[in-house]
Amino acid sequence: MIEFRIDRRSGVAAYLQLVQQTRQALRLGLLKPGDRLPTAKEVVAATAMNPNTVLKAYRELERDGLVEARRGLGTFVRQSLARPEAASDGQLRAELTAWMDRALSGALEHEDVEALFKAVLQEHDLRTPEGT
Amino acid sequence: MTWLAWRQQRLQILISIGLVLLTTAALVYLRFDAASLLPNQAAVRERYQGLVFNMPLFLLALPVLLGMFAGAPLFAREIEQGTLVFGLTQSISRTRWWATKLAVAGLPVAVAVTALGLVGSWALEPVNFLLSSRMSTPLFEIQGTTIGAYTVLAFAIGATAGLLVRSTLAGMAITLVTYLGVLVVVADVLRPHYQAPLYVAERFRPGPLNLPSDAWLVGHGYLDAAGNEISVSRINCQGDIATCFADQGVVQRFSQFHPGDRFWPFQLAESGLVLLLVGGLLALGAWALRRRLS
Amino acid sequence: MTEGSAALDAAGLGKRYRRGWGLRDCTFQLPPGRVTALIGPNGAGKSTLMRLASGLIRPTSGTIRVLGQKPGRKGTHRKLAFLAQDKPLYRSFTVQEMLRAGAELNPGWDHDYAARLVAEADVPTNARIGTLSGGQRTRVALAMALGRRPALLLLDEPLADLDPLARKEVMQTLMAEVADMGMTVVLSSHVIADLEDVCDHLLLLAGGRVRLAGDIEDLLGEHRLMIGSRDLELPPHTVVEARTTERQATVLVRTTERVDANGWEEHKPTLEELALAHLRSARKEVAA
Repeated sequence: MIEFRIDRRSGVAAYLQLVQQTRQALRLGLLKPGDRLPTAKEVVAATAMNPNTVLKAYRELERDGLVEARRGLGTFVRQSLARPEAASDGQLRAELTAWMDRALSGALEHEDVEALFKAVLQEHDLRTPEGT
Repeated sequence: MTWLAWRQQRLQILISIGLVLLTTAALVYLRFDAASLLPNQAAVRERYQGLVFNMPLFLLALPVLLGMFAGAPLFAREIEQGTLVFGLTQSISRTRWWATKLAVAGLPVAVAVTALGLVGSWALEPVNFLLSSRMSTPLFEIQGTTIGAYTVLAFAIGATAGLLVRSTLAGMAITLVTYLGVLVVVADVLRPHYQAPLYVAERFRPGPLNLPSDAWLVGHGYLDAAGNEISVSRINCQGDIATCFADQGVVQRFSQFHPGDRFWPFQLAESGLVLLLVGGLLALGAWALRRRLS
Repeated sequence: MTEGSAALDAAGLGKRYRRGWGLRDCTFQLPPGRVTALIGPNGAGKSTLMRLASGLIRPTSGTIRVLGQKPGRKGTHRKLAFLAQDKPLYRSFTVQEMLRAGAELNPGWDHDYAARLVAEADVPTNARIGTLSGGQRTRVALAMALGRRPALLLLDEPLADLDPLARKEVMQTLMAEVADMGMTVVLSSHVIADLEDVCDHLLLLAGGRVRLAGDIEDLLGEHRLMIGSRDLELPPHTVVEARTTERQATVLVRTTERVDANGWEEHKPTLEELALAHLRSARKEVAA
């Protein structure tokens, strides 16, 4: 089961952090269709955050069609976001790993790589505004 | 709530009752020991003169001590320690909370001291001849039903003062001062008037008044030939007092007194009066609880 | 929100003490099932408000309704629990005896639940209250409050004397209860950071008056924090507070739209920034 972590200094609203972490877990295949998400009480008992925040995050995920609430049972994953290419044995991932190795063994620092990656991603977004 | 009030006050209650029981036991012993010496009054006098002189003062202090230590902290300590807020934010009405605490802390002590007073009246019988009239202070207040009533009074003063001034120490001080004030006013101003005193006038002669030994003398004076009261000075008398007084116009002397058989009616009257005062104090406390607290 | 559905409803509420008004002209509603941060500097009226709600004191003016009812003389509303700042408990009692006191004073007392909360906090039941640490004492006091099974729980500075671990544990217990029972909670604090994750509703008091009230997400969305050179013209919006250093100006404006003013950098404020800006501007009003 997924465990949430809230970073208060990130400036991102707590419920959005939950949404992002769930999506991330779906993307990485940590959560699969049929899995149950922790109940609000379980999340709260672990993180001491407000249960309304958890419920708000789950509503958002439900609206996106990623999860569904089953009365009295809990909230379950409906749909995976995992792409085969992103899995640890995927082709694209292997290529990116190879690129990363080259970049870091060369003149670039960790932060340079991060900035470069984001810049390229942003350029790409600008060319195709509706794509995600 | 009864258990809670008991748990909070049990130490004071047990100590108070222990003290009262010890005193009662001592009085019972006194009764049997003194009775066994009678009719030899000299022997009783020799053994108990000192004790009988000091004991009334202790018994007079007992109610106010109990009132100070059981009554004053009852609410004041809860205010001081902040637990008043706990007690008053539960599902129980203020009045019930207040009344239960008063009843649990006050009733056992009141019953014990009343028993002490009744036993005391019986126990003091063999030594009464050593004492002045038992209708005068302090003997009147330390036996019968009054000692119980005065204990309730001191307790009510302590509890209400603690509630009003929100401090145990100040509550104790107020208890002491108020109690002594009430004692003096009741004994000197009120008690002689529970009933009209008997009046006896006789031809003046020097020497002690001719009254029953258990009578309580509340007034005496001198009359001239016309039957008017006159004030007489003894200071300038030289030689024969009778002649000196006669020269000042004294023909008769009179006395006002309450006979000894009025002891129990007076006991009940005074107990009732004190309990009336207690009612007033409790009403004040109930008012403060509703209007002024926290 | 419809009339009467609020967990706490104040209308023109005021309380005057001998030294002056402790709370004045307060009108607000706290929705049920929410966790409200009651924020304000010392003396802002936070404790006064809680004491009014629990019926310990009576309003001088206006009304307060707890779950639809005015506090009366029959004790505190059965579904309201109040935990005062000094966590009052009978010092000479054992924890066990304290729980029994709770049962004696409350017809709806849930003994198993209160005992479980105490056990979860690792507080020995035969220990005397007077010997407990600050954290244990708070846990017992919280168990005493929750044992009443309240629908509305008022906590006055509950975290003030707790270490970070105890803070987290107390909050976990509380939030689990909110999740489970849909309980409404009001937490007061003058340390805003304590409440940032936990609360979703805000009631900001200063000088005995309500300065800001509402859903925290909404309030944050209605404000923009603008940072720019101090020579720039202020954006044409309601300015809550403007502060300037030698070169820079920081301005909190109230608006639902993007400001998009030239030269200004625009941020979404944090709860702390929002609250502090309102409190500072309240203080300036009073001083002026």
